Amino acid sequence: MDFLRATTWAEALRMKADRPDATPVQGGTDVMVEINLDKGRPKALLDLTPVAELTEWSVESGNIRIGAGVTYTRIIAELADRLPGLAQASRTVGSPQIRNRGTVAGNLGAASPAGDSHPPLLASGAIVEAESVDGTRMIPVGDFYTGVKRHALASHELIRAIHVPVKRGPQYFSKIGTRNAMVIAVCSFGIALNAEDRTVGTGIGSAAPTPRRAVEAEAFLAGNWPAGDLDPAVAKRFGELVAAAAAPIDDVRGSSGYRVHALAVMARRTLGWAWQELRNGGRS
Amino acid sequence: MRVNVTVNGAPMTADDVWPGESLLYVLRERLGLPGAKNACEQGECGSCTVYLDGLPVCACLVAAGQAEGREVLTVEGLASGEELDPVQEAFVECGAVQCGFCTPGLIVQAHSLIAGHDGVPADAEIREHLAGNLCRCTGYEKILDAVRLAARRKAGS
Amino acid sequence: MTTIQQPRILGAGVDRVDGPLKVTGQARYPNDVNLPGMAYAAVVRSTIPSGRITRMDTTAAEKSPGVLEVITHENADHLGEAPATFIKNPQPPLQDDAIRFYGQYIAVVVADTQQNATAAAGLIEVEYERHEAILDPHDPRAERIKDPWGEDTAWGDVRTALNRAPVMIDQTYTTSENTNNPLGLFTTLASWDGDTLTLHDSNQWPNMIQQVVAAMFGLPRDAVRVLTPFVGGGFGAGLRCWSHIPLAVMAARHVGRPVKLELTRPEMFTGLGHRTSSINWIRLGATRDGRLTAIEHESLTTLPLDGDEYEPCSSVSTWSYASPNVTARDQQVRLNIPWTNFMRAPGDAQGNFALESAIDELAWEVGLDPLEIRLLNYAEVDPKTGRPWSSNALRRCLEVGAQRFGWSNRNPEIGSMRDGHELVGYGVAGVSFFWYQQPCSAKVIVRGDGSAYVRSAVTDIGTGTYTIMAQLAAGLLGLEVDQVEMQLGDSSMPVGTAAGGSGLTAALGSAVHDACGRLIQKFVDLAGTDPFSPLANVPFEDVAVSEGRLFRKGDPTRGESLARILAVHGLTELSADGNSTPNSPDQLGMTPAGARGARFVEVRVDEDLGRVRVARIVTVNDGGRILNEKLARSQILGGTVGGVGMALFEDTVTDKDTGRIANATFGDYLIPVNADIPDVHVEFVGEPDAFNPIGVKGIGEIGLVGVAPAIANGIFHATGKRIRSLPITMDEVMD
Repeated sequence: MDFLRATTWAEALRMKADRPDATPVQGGTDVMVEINLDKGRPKALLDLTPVAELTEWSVESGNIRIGAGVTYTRIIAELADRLPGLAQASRTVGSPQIRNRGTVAGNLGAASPAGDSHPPLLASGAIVEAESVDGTRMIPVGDFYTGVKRHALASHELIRAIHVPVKRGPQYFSKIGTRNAMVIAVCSFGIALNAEDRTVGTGIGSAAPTPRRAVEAEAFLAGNWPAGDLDPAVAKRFGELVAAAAAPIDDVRGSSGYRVHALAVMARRTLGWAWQELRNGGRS
Repeated sequence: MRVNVTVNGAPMTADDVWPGESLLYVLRERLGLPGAKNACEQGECGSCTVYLDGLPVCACLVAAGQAEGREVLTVEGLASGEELDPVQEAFVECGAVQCGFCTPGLIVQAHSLIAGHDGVPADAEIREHLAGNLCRCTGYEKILDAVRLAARRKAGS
Repeated sequence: MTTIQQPRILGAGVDRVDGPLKVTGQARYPNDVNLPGMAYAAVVRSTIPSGRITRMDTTAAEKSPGVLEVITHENADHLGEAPATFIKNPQPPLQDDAIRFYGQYIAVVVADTQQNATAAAGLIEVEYERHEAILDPHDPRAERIKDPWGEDTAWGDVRTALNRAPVMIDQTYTTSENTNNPLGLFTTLASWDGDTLTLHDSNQWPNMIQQVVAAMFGLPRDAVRVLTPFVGGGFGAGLRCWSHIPLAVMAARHVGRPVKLELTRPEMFTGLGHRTSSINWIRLGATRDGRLTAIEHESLTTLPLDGDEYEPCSSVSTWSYASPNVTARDQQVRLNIPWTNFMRAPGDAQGNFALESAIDELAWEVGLDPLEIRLLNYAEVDPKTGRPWSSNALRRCLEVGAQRFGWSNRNPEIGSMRDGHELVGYGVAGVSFFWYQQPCSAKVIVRGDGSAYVRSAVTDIGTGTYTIMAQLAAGLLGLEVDQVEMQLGDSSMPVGTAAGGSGLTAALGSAVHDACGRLIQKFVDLAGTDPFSPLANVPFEDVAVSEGRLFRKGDPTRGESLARILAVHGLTELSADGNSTPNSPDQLGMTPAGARGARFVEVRVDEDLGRVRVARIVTVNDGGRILNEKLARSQILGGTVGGVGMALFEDTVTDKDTGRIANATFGDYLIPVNADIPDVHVEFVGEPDAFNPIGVKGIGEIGLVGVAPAIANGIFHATGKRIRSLPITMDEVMD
């Protein structure tokens, strides 16, 4: 195994081009687990932590461009007002120690269906900025996940940043786990309402081979846009459509039947909170 | 490969480090600092918590090479001579230690909470901050007592 | 010296004497020890549950960087049989090609670094002849063992009593496999020096490891020294000599260097045993007003193909409540699974869940408060023999607990106590824990400066043995706690018993008590022979001890310090050996009672999601005399967390087809985190127990017992749903 230490982004891209078999590592919260538990040894590790430009975020045309090295701790501390859905999900990631190291880019790179950042990224329509020595590709996050722990990056590409639209309405994230903390999701759900153009975004986690949207549920809710009290029938139907979008399996964390049931409950609950926030004029 | 890292204020060098090796292994097996403990190797238990450039992290998830040129503070570096850090003192006094295997990680993590806090943290905040430190002996309650006591003493001093 | 003369430091909250070492990272656990020239070992485990190895190719592993040695059954040393200690130990590894469970050790690789050893271990190619594995306890082909310990018990006429009972409960309760999972990864560091062997080893019983390793390697016992001054928890996992220990010893002999073998967390799931799953069939007969007339309790637990295990789940039904007719029977079934083993409260944890759930069902059936039915059926005397108990404060535990908890605020109606979308439920369980004690010995020495040290081979697994024995010796010798130095965890010291079965405090404490008595006698004898001593000719019975001095009772001025007596007689130190053996129930005319307890739990159930949250717990326990309340509280608190884990999270899942444990990491096998544990109120009641001279009843395990049924009973009160299997999952609550 080789250890490649990139000090600049340009150097990182060159290294990845030379060594497409190198596994990029930031916080190590997935990569090192694989190595420690001897589930596989990459040919090389490409350490991106010294690359200063990755640790910055900026505002670009209504989006927050989150560098691939920005940790969950910083998203919670610095971006909760503009990206509440992602910040809520970030708070549920592992422990403080994990959040001090882990990154959204790492979550994308691991592409586990249970990754916590996926539902809010899907719900808010995030875009992954992938880069290589050949140039930059902007990949809508919905196209990024290609299978269980598989993604759309080419072998010489790295994630440079994630572009997440600044909130244009209420955003909520909910996750079910067996414990009260340190939870790998049994299943999770994110909702983002866009109050400006009256559209709805959703994201389902840990209930299909890849994170996915509940497209029919989004269309249904957009067609029944909040006015007055939340009609229980609308909430119920929304929950059913979210549940119908899932394709879960049975595993040690939960049964498929429970996951479908819980998704419907979480969809109704998060919709209730979002609806309430809309009625309160944006206050949660 | 060679890794240069400052540990508890002292520059140290480890040679023949395997690139997939964790900072935890380097500390324990190469630098003679077994205070941080190895218990799960996947960031689930917090027993290996150390400061890396001032932030508490799981040393088992830091690739050794990522610590190059950085500063690490372990449980061995918290006391000054014979004088225990107030967090260490409070853990002994409150009975927050049993088998003691999770203790070093908890001490560092609790230390980081109190260091960044002016008053006494609320229980929910303590629980949240220590969420990633598993203990199978003490039942957590006395750990909360110890953190409160240490924070009170710091706030009072 | 037959009673404790100085109760002033007994029961007080003395700080743990090993605390400073532990909070500074200076306490050296077995895996913290590194020796010059040390090599590292990695194990290879079988990937089938049953069959035999037909071919192993180690060529690539042998050529792998840093590799010093690869040992398989083809080149392993022939080892001697492992003796049974109080229970069987695994027979030596790598002695044949047979595979008995998934995860069995089939090779060990030694290399210069851990990474090189692990990498090479992955290069060994294995071919198997697969045999059909028996993995289901209900498989008719599986060997069943009836009455495995000859302890099946019956009195009265249960059949008739059940037939005539106006009210009957007939239910089945199951518990899943749990894994001890102490935080400390079990490690053996083996180092040969000629024909003598030193082991730094994680275990709960250094003399047992010494005995088994000596037998396997054909060594005299004193050629093996086992050092376990600290161990990162055990919960029963360290009570046998597991196969990685001889592997490390063998590896060290092969390479002629010290070898460290540290298990990984996944290896901890297959290599150290686990709590057996259990099926409990319970039938209760009762009168309309809830008085028990019959208890029938049968259990089925599991065994590995070649091991044994003591898990008498049904025995709790023979001593918990008064019933004129009782039958308690246990069976075991052999499967192709890793070893089952003691885990905090073996048998009791599972059996109590079944019995206390059934009692709760009976309460609802007859319309009695679940607290009242337990008080009503309290066993005033041992229901089996009619003998008095050595002590039994179960009633007091229930009464005090109910008061602290506010049980009287409970609305008996199911689902009546709601808070938002959470249903609130109150649950109670009683606990009657088993009694256990083994022989033990200790040496107590007083030095020229008047300070003392206490030696025994036993280890302190974190419970506080170092501290409470220092307190006890200090009290008996009239010293301050910091004048007593403890030396434990070394097999070369006086032979000690296991830190297990909640029996160490009584066993070692009685030995220390004996040694201190003998030592004071020696001092009195010495002083008595000195005509110039103020204690000349004062008989032993008239001597008291305080502040390092012996003096005549009633006349503290007439005395002499221990240090001065030594000086006068030109001695640098004086020592005495102490031994303890359990008293005989027949001789004392009483039944030794283990600890007693009561649990009161408030649960909150999310009615849409089935999530169960434990909101508060009151746990009251009778542990006889409490030697150190601070440490004793910790034992109960930790046990409580284990109980919450057993109730709601912990489940070692074995793949039904392959026999592989599917969740063998801390990411997948969930133990409770901080946020899962609510405020826990701990209280002790009861009096010093009459069965041993120091009046204690072990409390290392009881804290866990009863938590699970109290939670399940609370869930029933909240939701009307009776869950009869552990762990209680969200799926089941919603179902």
